[in-house]
Amino acid sequence: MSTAVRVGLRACGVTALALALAAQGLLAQWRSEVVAEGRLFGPAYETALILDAEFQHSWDRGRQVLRVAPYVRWDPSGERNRIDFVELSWAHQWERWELRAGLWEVFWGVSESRHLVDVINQRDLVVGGQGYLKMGQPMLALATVQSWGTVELMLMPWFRERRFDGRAGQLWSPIPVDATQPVYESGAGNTRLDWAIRWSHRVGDWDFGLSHFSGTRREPGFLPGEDGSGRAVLVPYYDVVDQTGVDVQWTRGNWLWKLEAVTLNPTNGRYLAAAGGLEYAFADYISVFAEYLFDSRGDAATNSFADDLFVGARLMLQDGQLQGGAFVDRETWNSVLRLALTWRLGSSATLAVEAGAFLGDESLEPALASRQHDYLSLAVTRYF
Amino acid sequence: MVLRTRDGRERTREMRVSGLAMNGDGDRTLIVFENPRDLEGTALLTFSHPEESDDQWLYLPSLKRVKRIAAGNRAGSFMGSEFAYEDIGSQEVDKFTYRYVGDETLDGEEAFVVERRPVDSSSGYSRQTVWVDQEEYRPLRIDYYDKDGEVLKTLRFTGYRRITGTYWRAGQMTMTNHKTGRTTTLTWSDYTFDTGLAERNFSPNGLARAR
Repeated sequence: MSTAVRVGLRACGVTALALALAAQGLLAQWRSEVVAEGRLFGPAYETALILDAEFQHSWDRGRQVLRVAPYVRWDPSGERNRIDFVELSWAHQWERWELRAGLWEVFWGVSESRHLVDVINQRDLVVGGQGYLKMGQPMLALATVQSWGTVELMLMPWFRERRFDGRAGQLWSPIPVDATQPVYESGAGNTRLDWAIRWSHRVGDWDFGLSHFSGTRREPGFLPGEDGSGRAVLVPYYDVVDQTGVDVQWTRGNWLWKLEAVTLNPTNGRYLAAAGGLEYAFADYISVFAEYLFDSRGDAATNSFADDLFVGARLMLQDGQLQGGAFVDRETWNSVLRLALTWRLGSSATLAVEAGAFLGDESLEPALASRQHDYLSLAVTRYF
Repeated sequence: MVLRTRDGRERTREMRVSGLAMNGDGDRTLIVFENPRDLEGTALLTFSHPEESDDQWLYLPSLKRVKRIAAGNRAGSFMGSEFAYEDIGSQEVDKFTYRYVGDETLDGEEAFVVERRPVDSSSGYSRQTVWVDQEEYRPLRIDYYDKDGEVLKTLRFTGYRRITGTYWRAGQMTMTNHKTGRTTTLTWSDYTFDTGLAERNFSPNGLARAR
């Protein structure tokens, strides 16, 4: 493709043929998938058609990279529609430095059960099934790779709000969430300049990371309010926090030991949360994990990970993957189970089945209505 | 890579493999999957070490996550194929002890027959017999013996070509498992050398860009 472009430019008079060739080449750099999805979530039934695409182009001997990854979700009910970019970024690399601008997705941390350290992106819980999808975070980042580790510095000028449309708005709590009138602790609202820094390094069998985030917290709290027609609603409240996190993994033979922990200072008081444990790989196709989850807020935690055990297993098959896990509250023995199977259909399609179930006494954890619905989803993905 | 079961069912995997020879350490290998499409962009980076166990990282594009994985299982199957990780990893000289067995003619070629025993006790084999042609020292065949001393697998190298006039590389490598009847054929194409790849192209940090 680059040849076609170069030829076109050199000839100055860009001919229709060269353009057509260039367009064809550019088209070939797109990777896309179309997903048809159906879900049973508690009493609700949802269907959706999703287009997930990615385009990458590099030039300047691979030193500059442009990436575009749109995400389009269409739901026949009219709710939960999305037109978004998971990534829209430009990066310039030098020998030991990289500058990157735009919006994209970041992953930090090591644990399987809960991603505490991973705080850069807003999470979309509405479209992510039992988990979540990340929303691209607008930022400017500078990274350097040195003999003493990798350092990343990020400036985030624009905050993205969590979505509560459709299902989540109704099922999150008995009182509906009105996301149209969010309250910010920062006077700058969603344009506060947030920042984060991370140092990560590898020494022998050890991998560790130390990170700090200072900005508007991605996970909101809720305040009582009223909507336009005087109905009682909950409005999202976004406070400003300083969060320091650490993540460590020790890889030894078939054993992987993992720990991640964070401490942060929201409006209602500093707390500590951690998740850690071990994974054992019997062979490269089967591994089991066990982790313990801790939250110093105890029962006041905004999720049920205060004192939980997580056990799970992953099995890679010739034509797919099977993964299962269970969170078990150590006090109430309430459990959340999840089983996910991905099965390959030929070389360009997959079938995915995911089931989730809540076992136990709901009245023991009233704050967790959203996780107490049984769940079943079926998705067919076609790759283009 | 074509995986074939005893009853003839085939599965195909396509990947791009890059390697970097290191001074004073084992090779670095990067495998990026292209097909089947649900694995596209998944990347496996291996730092092999002559004496200690290797280091390995897996990049999962759907999660944008680089995971360091357990590399302790050298005897494990590579992607469900008949190749174990230790069969496809770099064949460091120090990983074996050797014994010259004799000369033999194999498919019309004069070959040295060498028996080698893995140094690392985590290897899945008790010993291997290697046939190397006498003119260019290219491996032609390897028999792998399990821990009970029985022949488990045979690897055949065919279609040797001289790339850029210097390096001999097999066009096809076929591994037959005598116990299960399954075979795996690795077909290599588009070899390039001196590509300008450097250490930074083989770093866990860079895996996300390996596409």
